[in-house]
Amino acid sequence: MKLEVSERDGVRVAALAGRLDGFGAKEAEKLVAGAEFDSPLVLDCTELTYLSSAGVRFLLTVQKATSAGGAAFALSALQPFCASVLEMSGLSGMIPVYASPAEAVRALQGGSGAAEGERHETAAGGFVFHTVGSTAGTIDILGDIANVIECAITPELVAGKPFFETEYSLGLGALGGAPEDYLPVMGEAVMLAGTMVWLPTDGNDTPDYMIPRKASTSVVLQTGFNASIRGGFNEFVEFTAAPGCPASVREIYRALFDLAKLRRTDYRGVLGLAMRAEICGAFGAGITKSPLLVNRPANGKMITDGSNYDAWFESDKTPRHQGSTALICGAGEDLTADLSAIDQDRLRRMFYLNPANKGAQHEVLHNHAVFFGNAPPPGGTRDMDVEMRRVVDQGEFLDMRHLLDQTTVASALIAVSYVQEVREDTRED
Amino acid sequence: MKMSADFLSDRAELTKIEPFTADFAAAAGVPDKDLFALQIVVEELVTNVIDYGGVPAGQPAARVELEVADGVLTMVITDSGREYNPLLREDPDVTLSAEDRPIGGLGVHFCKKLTETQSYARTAGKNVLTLTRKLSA
Repeated sequence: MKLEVSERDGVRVAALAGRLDGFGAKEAEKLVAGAEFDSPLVLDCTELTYLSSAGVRFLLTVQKATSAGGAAFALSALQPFCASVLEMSGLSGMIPVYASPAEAVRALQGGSGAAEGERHETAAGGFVFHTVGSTAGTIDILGDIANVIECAITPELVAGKPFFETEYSLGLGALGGAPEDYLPVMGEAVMLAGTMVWLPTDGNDTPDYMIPRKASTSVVLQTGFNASIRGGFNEFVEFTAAPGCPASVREIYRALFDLAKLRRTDYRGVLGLAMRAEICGAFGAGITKSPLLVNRPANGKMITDGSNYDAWFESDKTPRHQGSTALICGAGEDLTADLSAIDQDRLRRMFYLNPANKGAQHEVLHNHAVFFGNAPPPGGTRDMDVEMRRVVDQGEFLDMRHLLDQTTVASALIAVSYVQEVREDTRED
Repeated sequence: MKMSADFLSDRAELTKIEPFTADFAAAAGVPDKDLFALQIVVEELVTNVIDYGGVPAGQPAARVELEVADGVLTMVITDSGREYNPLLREDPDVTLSAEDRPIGGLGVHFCKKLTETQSYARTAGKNVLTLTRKLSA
């Protein structure tokens, strides 16, 4: 184990080299014994080749020490293997990780440049971008949206999905113990940093809302289709529409797509978002029956087909929830971008053309939203988990819907993941 | 394909795990992804024995036997430490914030996540842990 400490622009950078296993962790503890933890610290992991639970405990010890000293702490250049161990430990969302020591230093400096962010004016409104992390984002897919719109869900296609406090996902599912309990009521579902909301298709049009306290396996969403944003977010974006001129969700995505083309070399045409949006007018939709094979329409057509749509979906013709705050989890595919780096089959399992999304030509979006009244104003954090939990804790829960693209927004805080890969969701409990 | 290695009760012995598992992986055709899982599982369990097994320093503490058959990796860790079944340990709460995290329990949690089956037996005065993992195609 080797530790080399240097200082860059007022931030200490400690480069850790070797294997942080049971043996290496003991050595590392000796190396940092007696050190002061009262100034910003980057632990550079470029040459860290291995991480075990003892290594994770070492990282935790340093995190606790810096936190006690009131100083910021981040990791940089974590290699893929070490990153997966960190993720397994549940800490990947809690210790910020940057792609390079230089990026980490910039983020921890908190100097004027970093605080102000990068500003862009667009037709939709103004955007200010702040880098918050640089792990490669992925979307993990479980099941297939085609089984939903073709009304082809069978009990075998439904999988139990445990959920986690740092989870952002959307899909179709239900809570319940036995198949006969959950299968008939599966509906739109969303998971936002530890809050799960779903809209049972039991005819009552009342969302069910829960906050699991532990990541234990006791709470499992039974799902026929789910898409999860994984790997943390890359940027935290402040969006403000021109006064009196709210922007639609589609316009916001379009602007983010177009800016990504200019700004990000890692743009692959797909974004995963978590958003706190101040709503001018929400257009929602919701499936009203569980899309089980046994419920398939007599005409054999998709439930989104014009002949079936009204019987299967309730969708807003007039805006709702004016003045509310929406917490949104969503993803978008930019049809004008080069999408060749993304697995097309998996992409198709996440997006479908909803006939209620009128006018979409250049992008396909899939968003689920939870609406709150009397939400506290934004708390100044750039951690979306923290921001969302504030709204959940202090706001008044109103509703949950699949969100249509024409929904209008006055301002928003947006955590953006530049998706590098769409994967099979293989994580089980 | 089978290989085994013995470890003394000394943390410095842990440095043997990487070459041992890498040699085995090369001989048995274990893909990189599974090699990492193998290294973690062996590392975590042998570390536990050395740290908490109560075996006097420098004495034989654990034997690790590895085998690949029909695309399944089997890891058997036999230790002469005090009687202890780590599989009974409750999973740690991985959602707690960094500040609230208790120390410990994470290693066994990793082992459970990285393997499909885990079993424990107390045989002839030794703890025998058997874990299996299906190799990725």
